[in-house]
Amino acid sequence: MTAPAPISITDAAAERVKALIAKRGKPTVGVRIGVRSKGCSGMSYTVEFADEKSPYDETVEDKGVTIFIDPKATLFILGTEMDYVEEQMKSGFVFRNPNEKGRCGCGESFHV
Amino acid sequence: MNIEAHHTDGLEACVVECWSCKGPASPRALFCSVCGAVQPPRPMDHFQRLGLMPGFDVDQGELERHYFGFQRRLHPDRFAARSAKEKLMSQQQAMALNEAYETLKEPLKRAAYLLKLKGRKADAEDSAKPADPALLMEQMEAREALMEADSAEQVQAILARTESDIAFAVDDLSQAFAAECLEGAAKLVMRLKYLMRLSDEARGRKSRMTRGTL
Amino acid sequence: MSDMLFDIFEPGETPLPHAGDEVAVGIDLGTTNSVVAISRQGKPEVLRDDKGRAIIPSVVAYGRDDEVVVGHEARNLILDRPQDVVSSIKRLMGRGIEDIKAVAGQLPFEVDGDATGMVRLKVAGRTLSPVEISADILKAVRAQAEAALGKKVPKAVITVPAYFDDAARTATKDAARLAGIEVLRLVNEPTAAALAYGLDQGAEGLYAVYDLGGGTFDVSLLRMEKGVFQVKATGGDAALGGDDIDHMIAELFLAERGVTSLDAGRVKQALMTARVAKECLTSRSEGEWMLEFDGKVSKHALSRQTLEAMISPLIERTITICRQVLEDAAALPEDVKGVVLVGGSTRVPLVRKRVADLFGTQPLANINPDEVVAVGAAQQAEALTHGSDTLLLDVTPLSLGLETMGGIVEKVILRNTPIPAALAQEFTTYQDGQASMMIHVVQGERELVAQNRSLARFTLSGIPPMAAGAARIRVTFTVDADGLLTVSACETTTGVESQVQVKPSYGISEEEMAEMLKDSLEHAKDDMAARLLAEAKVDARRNLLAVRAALSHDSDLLSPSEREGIDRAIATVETACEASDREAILASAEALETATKPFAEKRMDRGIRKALAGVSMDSLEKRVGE
Repeated sequence: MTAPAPISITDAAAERVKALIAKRGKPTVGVRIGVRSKGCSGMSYTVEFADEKSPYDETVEDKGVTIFIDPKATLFILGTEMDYVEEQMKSGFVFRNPNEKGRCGCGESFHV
Repeated sequence: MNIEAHHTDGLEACVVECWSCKGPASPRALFCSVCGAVQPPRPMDHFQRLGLMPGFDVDQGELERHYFGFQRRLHPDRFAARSAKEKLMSQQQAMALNEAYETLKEPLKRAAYLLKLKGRKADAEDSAKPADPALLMEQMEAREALMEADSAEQVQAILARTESDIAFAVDDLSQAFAAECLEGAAKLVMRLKYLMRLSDEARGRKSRMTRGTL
Repeated sequence: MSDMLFDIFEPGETPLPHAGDEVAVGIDLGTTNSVVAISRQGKPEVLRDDKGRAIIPSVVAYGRDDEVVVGHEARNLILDRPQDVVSSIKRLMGRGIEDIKAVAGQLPFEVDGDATGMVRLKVAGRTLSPVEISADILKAVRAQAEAALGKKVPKAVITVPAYFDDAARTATKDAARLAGIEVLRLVNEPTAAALAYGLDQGAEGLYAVYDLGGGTFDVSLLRMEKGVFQVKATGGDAALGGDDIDHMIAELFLAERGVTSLDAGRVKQALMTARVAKECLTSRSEGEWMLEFDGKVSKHALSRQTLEAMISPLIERTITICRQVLEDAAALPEDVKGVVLVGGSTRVPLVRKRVADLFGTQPLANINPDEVVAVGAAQQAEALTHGSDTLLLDVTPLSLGLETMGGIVEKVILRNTPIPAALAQEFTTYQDGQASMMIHVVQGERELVAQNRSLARFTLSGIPPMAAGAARIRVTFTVDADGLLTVSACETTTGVESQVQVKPSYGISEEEMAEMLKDSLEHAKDDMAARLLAEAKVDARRNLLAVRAALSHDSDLLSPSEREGIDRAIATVETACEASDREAILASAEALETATKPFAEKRMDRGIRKALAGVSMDSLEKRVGE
C-alpha cells in the first residue's frame, strides 16, 4: 500500500493559485501551508507564497501547482482537498476533508 | 482506502450530533467540520484513537509523534480561554489520548490490550485458568536466586539475564501476533508479566545495595 | 477544520488573528520568596517593585487594627515583633494539625488546631489559616504586578511543588481565590523551570530539574523535544528544603549558647542568623556569627566543612530521591543530558557537587535560580491566554488509591501517570444486603492506609439489597490538568451514583471559604460577578459562532421567515453581549437555542440522509439481510 498524497487540489484552486503567482510577479516555487499557534483562536493555518523550498517541507505536485507542507501541518492537513470558492461577498481557499462531508469518516486514521 | 468496508457497525454510528451547532458531525471527527467546536472522544480503540494500525509491532517514534500531535490540538491548555464546555471536552479528549498512549507504549500492556481486542483474555486475567506449572517453577527459581544474591554484581547478573529474557519474550510476542496465534500470545503475556515483576524486584534490590555501599 | 476561507500571503506576513488583551502573569509562590513575571510576544520579564527588587519575601506581619505588611518590610519586623510575623507558611499548606505535631516545637510560630483538625496560627491576637496568610502574600504579589504593569492583573498561572499533594494544591488554589486571582493553571515548579530553560536555551533531550527550595524538594525528569515538554517522572519531599539547613545551624548555635527554653522570638532570631551564616558559607570557608538576646551576646564560629558534615544526610536524601526518579523513568544517570538547578538552596556548594557526582555533568544554572520558575509560569500564562507552539505534558506525582479490607491501599492511579487522567476500578460489597459503602481516598506510595495521606471520605448509599459480592461498584478517579482530583462512585447494575470533588480532610470548607471571601476581600463580590459575566459572554459568543457557521453551511434549509427569526435571536444575543447584564445574556442565549432548534433538526436529518446515500448498496443489502 503506498501512502496517498497528503493533499489534493481542485481545478478551481489550481487555476487561482497559478493566477495569483502570475500576478505576484516574483520568482515563486509554489505555495506553502504552515501552522501557527499564536492568536486568540489557538492554532491557525497560514497559506503563503514560497520563495524557496525548505528542507523539511513535504512537497506535493498536483494539477501543475506545487504545494509545500510544513511538517507541523502535515498531520492535520492530511487527506484534505484544497479548493477555491467564490461567493457573493467573499472568496478564498478552503481545505475540505472529503471524509467528513456528510459521509461517514470510518476507517480514516485521523480527522481534522 | 475502502470506506464502505467499514460500514458494517450500524448506521446511527455514522452521524452524531455536534454539541455546539447541533448539526451532523462525523463520529470520528475531533472538531466539528461546520462550527469548529472540539468534540468529545467517541468510542474507538486505542490504536484508532492514535491513528495507528492495530498490531503488536508499534514504532515508538511514530506512536509519540501521533500522541504529541493529537495532544497539541486537544490538550486543555489549548482551551484555557474557551467556554467551560469546550474545556471539558478537551479534558476528556486528553484523558482518552493519555490512556491510549499509556496502554500502547509498553509491550506488556499493549499485548494484553491487543488480546482483549481480539476477544481473548490474557491467562493472568482468567482466574479459572491455572498458571503454567513450568513457568511457575522457572520464576520461583529465579526469585530464589535473587534473594540469595548478596552482592551488587550477582544482582546485576540476574537483572541483565531477566532483561534479555524480556527482550526475547517481546520478540516472541511479535511473532505470535503476526501468526495470529492468540493461544501462544496469551502464554507469552503471562511470562512477560512475571519477567517484568522480577526485573523490578532485581532493580530495587540492586539500588538498595548500591546505596548501602555508598 | 471549518470551512474557513484563506488568502495567500507573502511569506511571514500572514496577519495574526485578533489577539486578546488579557493580562495574565506567572507567580512563583515560594516558601521563602515569591516572584512574579509576565511574558509578552514570547519575551518574559520579571516584574519588580519601585526599588528594582524582583523578590518578594513570603513573610507577613500582622499588626493591631487589621494592619497587614508583606515582603521586605515584614521581614525587617521579624526581630522587633517576632510574635506578629509569619514566614515559611507554605510548609503548612494543606496540612492537618496531626501532620505537624511532631515539628510544632521547631516552627517559628504558634500553631493550633481547630475542631476539624485544621491548622490555625495564632498571630497578633488573630487566628489565621495558612490559606489566608498565603492569600495575603498573593495580594502583595498581585499589587506589585499591577503597579509594574499599570493595569489590573486578574489571572495567573501559579506554581506549586511537583510533590505537593492534592490538599496542598487545593489550598493554593483557595488562597488565590481569596486574593482575587483566577488561577489559569497550577503548574509544577520544576516543569515551569524546564519550560523557561528549554525555551531560552533550545534544550532538546532528557533533562533533570533539581529544585531545592526553602521548604520543598522536587526533582523531575523531562524530555524536551520540538516544543513538547513531557515529564517522564517526578519525585520529591514536600517537607525538605533550605529551611532545614537553617534549622540545623540555628539549633547548633542555640545549643552552644545553652538555650533550653525556646520562644518564637528567639527561634526567629536564631534562624535569621543561621540563614546569614548559610549564605556566607556558600562563598567563604568559615566565619563567625553573633546571637544577641536577653542582654547577652554569644559568638558562634562555623566552617563550611562542619556545615557540610551536618547537612550531608539531608543532601543524600535528595540524591536518593533523584535515583528513584531515574528508576521510575527507566533511565540511567548518563542518559540525562543536563541538570537544571532551581531554588536558592542550590547555591550551597555541597548540593552542586553531589548533583554533579550523580549525573556526571556540571549542573546548569545560567538562568537565575530564584527567577526561573516565575519566568516559566509567565510563559505558560501567555501560552494559555494567547496560544503557543509549545505544550507541557505533566504527570501526577503521587499514587492515588482507595482503602480496601484490612486497611490496605488499592491504587487506582499510579504515580507518574500523564494528566489529565481518568481511571476506574471496580469494587464489590462484602456483606449480604449491604446498602452503603464507605469510600476512603488516599494519596501516597505505601501499602497501608495509615502510612499514606488521607484525602477524603464519602459514602455511596442506596445500594439495593444484593448478595455479598454481587454489587459492582465502579469508582472513577479523575485528575484534571491542575493535578486536582475528583472521585465518583456508581453501582453499575442499578446506576446509583455519588460524586465528590475531593475536598481535602485538612483544607478549608466551602462555607468557611464563602465566609472568608465575604470578610476579607472587599472586591470579592465584584470579582465573582465579573467572572460570571465573562463566562456567560464566552458561552454566548461560542453559541453565536456555532449558529453562524451552521447558517453559512446549511442556510438553504430555512424558509425566509425561519431565517428571519434566527437572525433576530442572533441580534438579541449580540446586543446583550455588548452590555453587562448577565441575566439578559443567559435569556437571549436560551431564546437563540429555541429559535434554532428546528434548524438543527433539519440539519441532522440531512446529515443522516447523506450518510445513507454514502453507504453502498452492497452493505445496505447486507444490513437488510441481517
